[in-house]
Amino acid sequence: MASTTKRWGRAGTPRRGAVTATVIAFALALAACGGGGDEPEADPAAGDQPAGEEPEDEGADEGSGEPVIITIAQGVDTESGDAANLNATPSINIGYAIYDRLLSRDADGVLGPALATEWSQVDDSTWEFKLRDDVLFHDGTPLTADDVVFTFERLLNGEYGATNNITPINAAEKVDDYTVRLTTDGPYAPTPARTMFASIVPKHYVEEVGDEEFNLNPMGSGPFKFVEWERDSRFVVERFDDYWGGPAAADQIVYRPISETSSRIAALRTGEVDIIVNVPPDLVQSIDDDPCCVMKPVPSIRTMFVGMNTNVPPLDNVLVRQALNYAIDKDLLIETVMGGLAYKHDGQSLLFGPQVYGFGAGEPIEDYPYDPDRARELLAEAGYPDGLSVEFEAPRGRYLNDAELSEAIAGMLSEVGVQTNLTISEWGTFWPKTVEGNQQGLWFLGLGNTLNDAEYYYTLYLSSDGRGYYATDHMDERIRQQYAILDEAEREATLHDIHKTFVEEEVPWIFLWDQADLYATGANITGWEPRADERIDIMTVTRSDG
Amino acid sequence: MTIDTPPTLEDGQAPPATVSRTGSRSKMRQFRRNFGAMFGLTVIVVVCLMALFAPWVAPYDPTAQVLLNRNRPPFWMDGGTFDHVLGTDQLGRDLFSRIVYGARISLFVGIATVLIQTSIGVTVGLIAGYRRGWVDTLFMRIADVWLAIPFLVLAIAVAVILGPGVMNTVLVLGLVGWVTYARVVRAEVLTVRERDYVLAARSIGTPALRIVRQHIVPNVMASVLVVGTLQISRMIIAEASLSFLGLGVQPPNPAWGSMISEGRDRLGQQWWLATMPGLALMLTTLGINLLGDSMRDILDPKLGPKEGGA
Repeated sequence: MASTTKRWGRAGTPRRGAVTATVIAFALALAACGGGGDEPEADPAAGDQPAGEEPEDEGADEGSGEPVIITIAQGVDTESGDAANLNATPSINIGYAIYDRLLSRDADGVLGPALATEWSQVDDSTWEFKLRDDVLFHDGTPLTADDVVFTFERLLNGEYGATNNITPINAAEKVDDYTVRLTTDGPYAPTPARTMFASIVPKHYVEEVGDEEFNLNPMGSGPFKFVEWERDSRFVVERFDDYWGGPAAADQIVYRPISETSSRIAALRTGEVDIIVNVPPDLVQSIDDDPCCVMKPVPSIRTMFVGMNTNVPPLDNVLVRQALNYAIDKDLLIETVMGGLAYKHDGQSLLFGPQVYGFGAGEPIEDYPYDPDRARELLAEAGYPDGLSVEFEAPRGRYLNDAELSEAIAGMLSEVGVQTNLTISEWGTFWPKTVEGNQQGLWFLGLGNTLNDAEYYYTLYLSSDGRGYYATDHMDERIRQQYAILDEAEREATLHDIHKTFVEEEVPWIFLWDQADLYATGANITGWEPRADERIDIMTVTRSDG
Repeated sequence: MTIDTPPTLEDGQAPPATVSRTGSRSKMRQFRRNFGAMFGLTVIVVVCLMALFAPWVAPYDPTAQVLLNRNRPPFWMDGGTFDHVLGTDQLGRDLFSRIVYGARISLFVGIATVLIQTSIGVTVGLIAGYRRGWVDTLFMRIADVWLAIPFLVLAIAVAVILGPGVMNTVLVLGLVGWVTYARVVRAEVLTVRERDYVLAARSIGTPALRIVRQHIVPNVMASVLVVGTLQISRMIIAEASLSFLGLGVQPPNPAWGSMISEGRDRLGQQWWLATMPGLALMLTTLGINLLGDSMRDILDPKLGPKEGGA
């Protein structure tokens, strides 16, 4: 790290301006080539170098050598420290360190106990959860039913980022100190899974300090306690030794947002960070060949798509939306830009992959094969024989090859006469705008699915309970009806039928594919495997000596 | 070393005076003998021709993607062909064609912003220098405050408000960079307005506007020309910086800055993606600066012919 910085500095100082760009270019190249060779095994201290200070009092007392600090580089920073505002996966990942939820999901996607040990349905619209009695918040206060009720009520009564995610739960009620009941608007089958979106916060602390302070100094009952958060730079947590699930392996975890792919990889090669996300497919081989690092690819639950604002012309016209789907050569994009690391499920699903409940449970779904002539015909039929022009915004650094893909997609659209006004923004600009429903045309997005249930996409992005880009009464009704179906097979078939209607008739998105998640770790990182749901599980991650 | 210094001329050393007719021939000779000047001129002429005749020079449409032909190296490397002299980028677009078209954007932004800056800056400088008094104080204090904020930071702030795009970039840079001209012109005016012929004109009651137009403007144009030339290269770099940061010209428009930005993730593998537009940017700005420097040397009688040069 230090040597890299110096090299940059030396090269960059004497001449600013004209040559800077080129110099940076060469310096980066040097850093990328030289870094791995310099120092293949990361020095344990390297992780905390950028921190500079931060003594870890407890870790040092135990005196078992150097504290283990694991640095994780995601593409973007968390949007908030407050559990109620964690929405994007990188934020939710940080939330997993600090907070607990009633239930948890294992690497295979199966729901299991966490704060709640048992859960059962009391009547059609009421669920009861029995809590553990040995859970402590990071300040030593025990976690009780009051905190759970407070968490749900805070979400329900407030306007938080996660509020949408817990609908249709409408009330929480304390039965005794360690029993809670949740009620829903009518029968709602995936209630237990929905509770995954509610990270339990300490009532006494939030009430005392208020939302603003809680956002900056969060506290929960999770395996790690909050240490510090420098926005867009680092988010530091340290091990909570009294964690009910037993203490985690590492002493400290540092989350760093590094949106530049090349910087992220250079940081991994020099040992500055230990785990990185989103290695570009073109670089997989070179990382595999480097003794510094190990590639950890995994098929992801994340579905990629181009959203459309169906409220405004020209995207309010379903023929236009179909035309856009025919204009994209997905196979070519997967083969080239994605390096083959993306998965389509033609005929079974265009919205999500097989890990999601509701996948392929019924008649085949018609897909949109690449057919530019058909696209032009449809555009003409829709009243745009000379093509049309539309806004298109995409993030940079958030998803695998996001900017590049968006450019390629824009190129394919222009082939059929759809001119896009492409803007590539930083995630911090793009995401709030998208969440608030302010995208006016096309927007590129990847959706994870904490619920593992097709209903999540429908409610959040395709109904009037969601972001507002697509909402119709008839689909709203069908989405709400399936909540009530408690028979699993029947509900799965219904989810599939809705899926079929969305793809074949409503066409709210340009459907793309599921991506693979390409993680890489330092060669000396042990106890960590990637998961399909993109959760970066940090309970067992540590560093082997060597 | 003058290459990258922002061309702010101190009040004292402003290059004075009109170019006298009798001296122009020797100036031309001096210019032709100056290697830097000739090199700069050559580069600029080549870049300008490239930009003007881009559709004929570039072998391909700069935005045409051929995904099956991505990341081809330049012709001299293994796997490179003469079909794509400088190779292709991550979406299979011809890099040479993109650089050629990029010259259009860079030159357009450079020249257009300098025109905006000149019109604002020269006007402010003329008014401040000629009127003196509170008008002068007001304008110059504004200029001081303006200069206290780093140029690029101000440009980024305005770019965020206006949003990205070629025209907005021109507007941003044009609005932000007028101060240099205002100060240079004001300094010139301060000396010129005390000359005998100006005093004489004033004493016979010539209107102020006419004095400024006939006697003052011709005298300050030489320095404006020098500052403007040097400023073009600075603006080209500023545009590249904004585009690099994603606030300037947006894809798929082939601006050099955004090409460098898109190529930087691949420096380890496809180094040419960022390096080639970087070289184009470097050569162009170097050329403009060399030319501007020699123009200053030649137009400034205080510097002897031998002392000048880059």
